[in-house]
Amino acid sequence: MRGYPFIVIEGLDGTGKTTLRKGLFRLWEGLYGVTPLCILTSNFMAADAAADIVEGKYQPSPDNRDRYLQALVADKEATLVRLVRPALPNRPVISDRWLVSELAFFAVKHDMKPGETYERLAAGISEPVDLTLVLDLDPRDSLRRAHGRQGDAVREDWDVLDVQARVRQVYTEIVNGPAAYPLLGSVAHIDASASPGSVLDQVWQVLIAHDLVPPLDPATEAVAGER
Amino acid sequence: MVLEEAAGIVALGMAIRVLEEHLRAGGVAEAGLRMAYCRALAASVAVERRMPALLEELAELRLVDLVSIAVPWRGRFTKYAGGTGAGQVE
Ligand SMILES: Nc1ncnc2c1ncn2[C@@H]1O[C@H](COP(=O)(O)OP(=O)(O)OP(=O)(O)O)[C@@H](O)[C@H]1O
Ligand SMILES: [Mg+2]
Repeated sequence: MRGYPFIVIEGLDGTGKTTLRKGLFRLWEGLYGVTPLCILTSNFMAADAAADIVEGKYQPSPDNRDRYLQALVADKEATLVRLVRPALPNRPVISDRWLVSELAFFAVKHDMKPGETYERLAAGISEPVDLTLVLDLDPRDSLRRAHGRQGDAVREDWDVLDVQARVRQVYTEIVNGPAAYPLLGSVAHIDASASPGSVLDQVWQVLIAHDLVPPLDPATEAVAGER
Repeated sequence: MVLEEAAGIVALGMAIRVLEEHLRAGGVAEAGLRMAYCRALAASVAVERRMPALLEELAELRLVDLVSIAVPWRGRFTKYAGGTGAGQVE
């Protein structure tokens, strides 16, 4: 068994993913004495895929759809090989979005069933996630949070109520039938309407329940990497 | 007001460390302790965006060193303008 978990945070724009990631970072570093590696859904680790990722994300069309999918696979696999796998023996990896966000994007922008997108992605991705946390919140509230934030761009063709409501449907479908998506690992539904502290506590308890945090015995603290 | 905010951050950092001691000593099973810790960590996330400006406002006061390392924040190990450079990663 490998040392530390690969944890993914998913949720609509503004649900609090980045806030939770920062909280988890502090929890791991402060209490468990290990500094996590934080990554994003695209990390531009596969140089050849970069242009297709930018175009496929910001100018999606039937013409660039398949190239975008291929580019995502290449970038995620390169991220797994170069960042995630080398880190896991020593530290947890926390990703701000990963596979679920892509399934939702292709469902909304290209009318592809999540299962179909998943098969295409899974064909080239070698490493499963241990735990996928889905922050769930009414899109009206998440949009209010997203818009209330300082200095962050919101996308006009994405950060609108009808699109976000469809994205949430895809998330709900996945949370209710995670067995169809083994690369997501365990999938946990998190009530994101709670305060930031209480969201962090919910997630901490999920980590404990899935045996994904090291023991806190003070005597073993110095060798926290050995599980 | 600046001093009050600075003192608040130092107190928050101390609260986080005290809670960590209790949690390591077997407190993880206590819901109240866990929740207090999570709220303190969330508060440290919330003050993060104020840190650069606050350190700027503290200017030449020696207090900058104490405040900048009291809580975890993104710029903790970067050199701040006007400071002594303490806390920099070598
Ligand atoms: N549990 C919460 N309760 C209330 N407000 C919150 C909560 N979590 C985060 N926020 C606030 O909502 C806003 C959006 O949070 P955050 O940036 O963490 O969301 P996000 O999911 O990362 O968004 P994006 O998908 O756009 O990156 C921020 O102003 C943040 O302070
Ligand atoms: Mg974010």
